[in-house]
Amino acid sequence: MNTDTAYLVVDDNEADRFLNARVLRKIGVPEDHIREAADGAQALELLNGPLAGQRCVILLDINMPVMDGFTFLSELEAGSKPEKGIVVMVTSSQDERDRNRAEAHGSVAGFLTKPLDRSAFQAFLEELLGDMDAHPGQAGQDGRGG
Amino acid sequence: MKPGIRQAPDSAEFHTRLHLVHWLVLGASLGLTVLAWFVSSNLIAERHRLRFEQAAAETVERFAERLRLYDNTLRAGVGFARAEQAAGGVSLRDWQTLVSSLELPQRLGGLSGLALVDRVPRAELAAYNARVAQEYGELGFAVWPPVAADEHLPVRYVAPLTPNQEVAGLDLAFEEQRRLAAQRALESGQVQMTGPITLVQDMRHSPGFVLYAPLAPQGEALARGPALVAAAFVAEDLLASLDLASEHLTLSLRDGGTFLLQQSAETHADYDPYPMFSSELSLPLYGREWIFELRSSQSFRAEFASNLPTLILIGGLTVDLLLLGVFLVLVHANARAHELARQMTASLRRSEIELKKRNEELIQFNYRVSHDLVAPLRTLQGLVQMAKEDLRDAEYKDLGGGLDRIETMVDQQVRVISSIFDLCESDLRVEEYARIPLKPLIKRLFLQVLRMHPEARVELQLPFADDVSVAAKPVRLEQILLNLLSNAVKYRSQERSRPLIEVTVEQAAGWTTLRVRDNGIGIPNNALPHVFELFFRAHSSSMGGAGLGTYIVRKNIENMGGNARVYSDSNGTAFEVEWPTKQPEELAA
Repeated sequence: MNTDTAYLVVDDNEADRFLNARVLRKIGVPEDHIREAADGAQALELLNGPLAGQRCVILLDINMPVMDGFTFLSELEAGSKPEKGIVVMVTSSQDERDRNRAEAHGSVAGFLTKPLDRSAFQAFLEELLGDMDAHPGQAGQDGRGG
Repeated sequence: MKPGIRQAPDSAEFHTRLHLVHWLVLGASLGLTVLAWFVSSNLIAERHRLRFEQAAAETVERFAERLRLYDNTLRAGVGFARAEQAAGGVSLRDWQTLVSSLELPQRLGGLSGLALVDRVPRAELAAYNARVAQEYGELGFAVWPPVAADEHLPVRYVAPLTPNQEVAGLDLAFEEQRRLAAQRALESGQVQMTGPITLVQDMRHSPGFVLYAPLAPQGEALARGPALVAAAFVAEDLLASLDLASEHLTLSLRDGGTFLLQQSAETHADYDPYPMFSSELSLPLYGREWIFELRSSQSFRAEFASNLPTLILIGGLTVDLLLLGVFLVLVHANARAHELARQMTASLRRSEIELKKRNEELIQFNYRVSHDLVAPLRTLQGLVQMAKEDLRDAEYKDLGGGLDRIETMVDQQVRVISSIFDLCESDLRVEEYARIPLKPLIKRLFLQVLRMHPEARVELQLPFADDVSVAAKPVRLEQILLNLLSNAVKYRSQERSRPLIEVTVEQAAGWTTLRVRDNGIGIPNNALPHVFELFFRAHSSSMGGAGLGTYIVRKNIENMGGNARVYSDSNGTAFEVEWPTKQPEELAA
């Protein structure tokens, strides 16, 4: 795993954050590369603060209080360095409308369903990050999975 | 009315009025009525006029006819006299026989008598007197009055003698009219008539006439002996003999400037001072002209007056009125039908909008429920998978925390599902209003909430009288208060030393308002519009909310015909619910 990349788990459910962080750990992401946020607003704070300027894979839930996933995406894309955030939707929603809305956002690289399957997620990430390294600046243009 | 509801243009007024078509039909009907009345009036007036003119002409014709009879009678007298003369002379007895066989009074009404007039030169008058006196015998005869003329025209015989006795011996030369008319007859050989005169035998002195017929045709002069046959009549008697009562008219008759007859209101009961018709006809008579002024009489009016036009007018107007009535009834019925249709349409639109709203709510409800029920299960699935892995790998570091999380989530999910059941049940519940004492209820619910949050130190303030009660559906009010109190406790501010909840009540202007105010953490401004939405949470789930409480509040208050509002800032949050106050008689016993 690329050790320059930070990982941000955004979910209002503590158990989901715990599970997603554990999957990241299990696939080799160092503990200190993993951050958690309970809603979109907290996530933006982290991205603009401690994680600013760093490439960051964001595991994003949709339904959250305070600021939901879609609002977060809009805010992120309106920010100064949107290309630094690579978003993977991790949601329990199987609603097509949610998937379509997510795909409309340029920063979304994948749409995965809870609970995360560890090996599938690992393969997806390796492909995504390898691709990104080969063609920097094309986040979200391909390599989508789910 | 909401802007979304399109309403048909308000045409109620249009439908309650008569249309142009109605007015046209009424106008046409009225026009026809007046036309029928006018035409029938004119036709009947015309018929009456013709009837009158016919009667007038007939009256004049009967005068003329009677005068022709007189004329013929004179000529009969002439023929008789000439025949007798040729056979040796006319005698008094012969003349009386002639006249009695003519049956004057019966057949020739109005004619007073028939006379034979001689022509006597002045020199022979004495001898003439003596000769005729001899024939008259003891009756006596003398030519009178004395006239200074070369030739005398004495009446030798007159019959019947009564009432013409005085006429025997009358010298027609005594007076201008008689003398000139006789002269004209002798010279022309034609029947001639005097102007209006007073007959000597007429005690009434009413206008009369004498007709003269010469015995000799024109050019055949007779120096002496019988020269003329004369007949006299009084105009009034002539009229009386005609029996004109059935003609229904009155008349005036004048000869030049002299009135011969003048029927008036005084003389004639049937006289009509304002006749329906009048006309003036003239009758030429022996070089004279009689002018008849004829007027329709009162009996004419009675006999021929027709109320048909009036009946037509009344009938027509009645039909018009009925027509107007029918139109008004129709228009009224039409307006009612339109109004009914309009109301039904509006009601259908409202139902449609309501249904759409319900449908959208249902779709949203479905989405939220499926998500909020499925999401925790996915998480549980993940936790279970994790536990299985850890057990397989004999790695127990995360296991305890994982199982704790499973337990917490199952608990939470049981609560959510039971809330959803409550919600569905309350949607279906039919409940009567009752009067509920407020303080005991709030206190009981507050204690119930505190049992769920034993660590909370919250003060409840109820600044209203102990006996205040409100009319509401009991279970719904309980659910509303329970959720509002629960939220107030759940979202209390940890930073404040004295968390407070204040419940106030207000009953005015037909509305009951309950206000639950806290000094808690408040709700962000951008979240306020969504507070009452299903599964909406303004705060993270660590606070324990499932996003159902305020939705339940809204559903219950809407069921009571009311609404809910929320106000919030950094000092806390106030929820306000209000619903129409029920009157005592509307409450369940």
